[in-house]
Amino acid sequence: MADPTTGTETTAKKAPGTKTPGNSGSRPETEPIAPLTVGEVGDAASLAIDQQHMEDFASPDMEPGTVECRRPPKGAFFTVLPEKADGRWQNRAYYFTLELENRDPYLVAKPIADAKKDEEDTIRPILLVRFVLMNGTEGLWPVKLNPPDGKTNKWNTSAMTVLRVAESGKWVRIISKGEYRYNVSGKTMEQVPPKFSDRTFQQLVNEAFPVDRVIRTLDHPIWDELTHGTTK
Amino acid sequence: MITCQRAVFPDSEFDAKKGRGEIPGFPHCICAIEVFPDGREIEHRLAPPYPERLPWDRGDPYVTVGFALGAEAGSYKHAGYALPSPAIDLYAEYMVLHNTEMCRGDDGKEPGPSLIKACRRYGVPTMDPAYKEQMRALAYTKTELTPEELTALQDYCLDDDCRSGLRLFRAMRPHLDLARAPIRGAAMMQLEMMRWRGMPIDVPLYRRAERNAAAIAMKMRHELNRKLNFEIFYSGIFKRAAVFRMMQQRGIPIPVNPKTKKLSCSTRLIKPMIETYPEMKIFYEDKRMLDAFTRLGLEIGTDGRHRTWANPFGTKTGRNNPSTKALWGLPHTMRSFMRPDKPGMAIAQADFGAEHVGIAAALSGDPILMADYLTGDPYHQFAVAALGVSNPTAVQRQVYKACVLGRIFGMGAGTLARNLGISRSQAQRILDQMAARYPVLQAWLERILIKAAHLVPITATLGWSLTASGTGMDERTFLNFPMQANDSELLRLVFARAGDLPIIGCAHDSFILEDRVDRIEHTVWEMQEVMRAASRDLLGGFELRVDFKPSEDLTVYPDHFIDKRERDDGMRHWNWLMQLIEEAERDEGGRSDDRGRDAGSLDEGLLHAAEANNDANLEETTALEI
Repeated sequence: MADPTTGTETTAKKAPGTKTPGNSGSRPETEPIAPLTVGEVGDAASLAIDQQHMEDFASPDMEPGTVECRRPPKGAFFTVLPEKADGRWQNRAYYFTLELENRDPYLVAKPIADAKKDEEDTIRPILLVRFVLMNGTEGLWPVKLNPPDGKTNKWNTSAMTVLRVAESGKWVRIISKGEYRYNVSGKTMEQVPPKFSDRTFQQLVNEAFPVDRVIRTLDHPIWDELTHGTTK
Repeated sequence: MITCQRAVFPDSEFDAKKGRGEIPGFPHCICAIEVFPDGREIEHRLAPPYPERLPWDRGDPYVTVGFALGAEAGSYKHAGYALPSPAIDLYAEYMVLHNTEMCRGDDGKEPGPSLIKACRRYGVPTMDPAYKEQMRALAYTKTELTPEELTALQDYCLDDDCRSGLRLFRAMRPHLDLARAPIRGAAMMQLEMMRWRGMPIDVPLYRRAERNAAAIAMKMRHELNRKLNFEIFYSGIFKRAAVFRMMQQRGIPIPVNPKTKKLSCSTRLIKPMIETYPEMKIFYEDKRMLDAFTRLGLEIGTDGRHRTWANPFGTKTGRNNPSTKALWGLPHTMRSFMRPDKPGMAIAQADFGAEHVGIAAALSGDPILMADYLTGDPYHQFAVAALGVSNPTAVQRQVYKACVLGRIFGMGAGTLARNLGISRSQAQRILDQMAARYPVLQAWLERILIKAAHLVPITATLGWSLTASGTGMDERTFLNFPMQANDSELLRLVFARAGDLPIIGCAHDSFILEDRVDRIEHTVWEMQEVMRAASRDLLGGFELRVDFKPSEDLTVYPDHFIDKRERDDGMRHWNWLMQLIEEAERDEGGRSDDRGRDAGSLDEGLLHAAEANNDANLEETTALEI
């Protein structure tokens, strides 16, 4: 129907579900759009969300991403899996790492670490522990170990304390204040079950340390770099 | 709440006149799909001359749904229709729903989506982008359409834009917050009305500055080197390492960029230090002016008014994020390019006083902070209590102000110490004093961090939310998020209720209005009422202060607008800028004379070098100052 006096044309349309003419296709339209009940600008006071109850708005799950070897982020709760004292550990292991400033760490094979340990203080033993955040992001926590000479470091000691709390079935969050302190979440494991992936611990280690970040030989380029420096 | 029996999906085709500072063109057509409860649809094709009343406006309530409704608001205004209400803007709703995923990259927040991109995100069939471009070209380039062209444009408008909007709505509907969406929809349209009005600019003066920008920037560099007695510009190129050296030599701590963990002299990180270190105040103010001159490019229409897109929801906190080429993105000194455009006109500024402290007080429910806020000067009250004196000095007040604001922005003792030039233990003591005075606030801030660490959305009063990413940046972000996110909710609510109030500009906490001299104070009073009511509605009845002092915040033709900070500074930078323009023109005049005698003189070569250096300076600062 064209109305030449107003420049208006209105066309009564088909029933829902029929193909819409135009340059693109349409999908079946089964649910009615109207009626719709919506808010009004004047309603703001009754619509304002109580800021004391923000946690009621749950988040959709996020996909697990890459695996990083680093301390659990300070802003997020995490947990770890416990290990049987008498059994073979499934989700943690001792390793040697070589760390350079502003670089991702290298994993060093034990024979190489043994061969280099007297001349290279960048190599240190660590306990690599699998952790998971509440959103399912997994990582490997390199917990530094106190040296065997009995001289303890409170960062290392407190990290072990946090680890023990986490493995006791708690969600914890790290706080750095002269040492590692922690918050325990009010959420229990039952309320927010940890979403560890099906990947094995070794798979995670392999993802966090690809071949070029594992030192298995004494002719690895890193030794030359440490001896003679680099312009990189 | 209101129940609407019909939903209308309008769209219009017009020349957007992007980037030119002009009002968008008169619509070639306005089309709409009207949907009834039984699924029946009516397709409307309108073209000029438009009917007095929209054919779907039948007197009963209906909801208008569109994507980026600001555009349709403009077409409605051209055609003489009132802005639709209630209205849902799917662009705004997309930004609300996808804020977290849009902030996940390393390069800041992704820009907002086009209709095509939004449809793809929801798996909704949509138009071919090439076809869209073809139709846009038709709408942008022709003023008079043939009947065939009009039909083609209406087909596109109806079958693609309106239909895509309808399909997108169907797909998004399960996720939409229908109660609060109309507030955002109304705000989006009012933001567009603000753009329409535009800011009146003293165009002749601005053009003089723009014409001489290269020469002015060159002089500014020399002058900054001289003021600092240090060569931080070498051959016109900014040397970050030289700034570090200067700071080291003078015992000024160098900030560390929390993102990159590297030393930085970005003006953003230097800003909190400027009250402590006079050299850094000079550096901060002059460098920002200089940077602004290297990118001077206000979009000014032929009517002498500056119009730019506010980029609503452009930041992770939901604030507007206009281009750095917008007048309000330039250093405050340069806001004085704005002035009422004719005799009898005036400009006024009304702003929420100590807005973040007020929001923190209201949302945390801290009774002491609320009481301190209501005295009008919470920083003074804190200083009085902490120091045990009845009348703290301006410096003492400044220290406690830095502490309150810093803590709300997630600042620790190290940063506070650096900014105030005090020891870390002194800074910690002040922070402890704050925790002791405002324990409810302290617990509330801590509670936010704990919620964020659960990786659940932290949601502001009207539904804007952000979920922590699980990276080290979260703590700082979320201490600050409730204040910034709620100030942006408040801004939107004010816009949604502003009606015909002549708003021509806004910052996160302030509004610029323009009206006749004999009406402006009444207009501001109305605006204050809207602002106060909005704050009460969002903050559980707690009313924020709205500041407006006619002696300071009112500008009458022919005066230029003056930002409060510039006024407090004795107009130092504005006067300097005027002097630089005059010097540059004098030099240029001299050069013109010389050119007549000796074409290709040394001066001309230097000016060309200055122009080239302007670009170099921009590149270096953009690359380095993240």
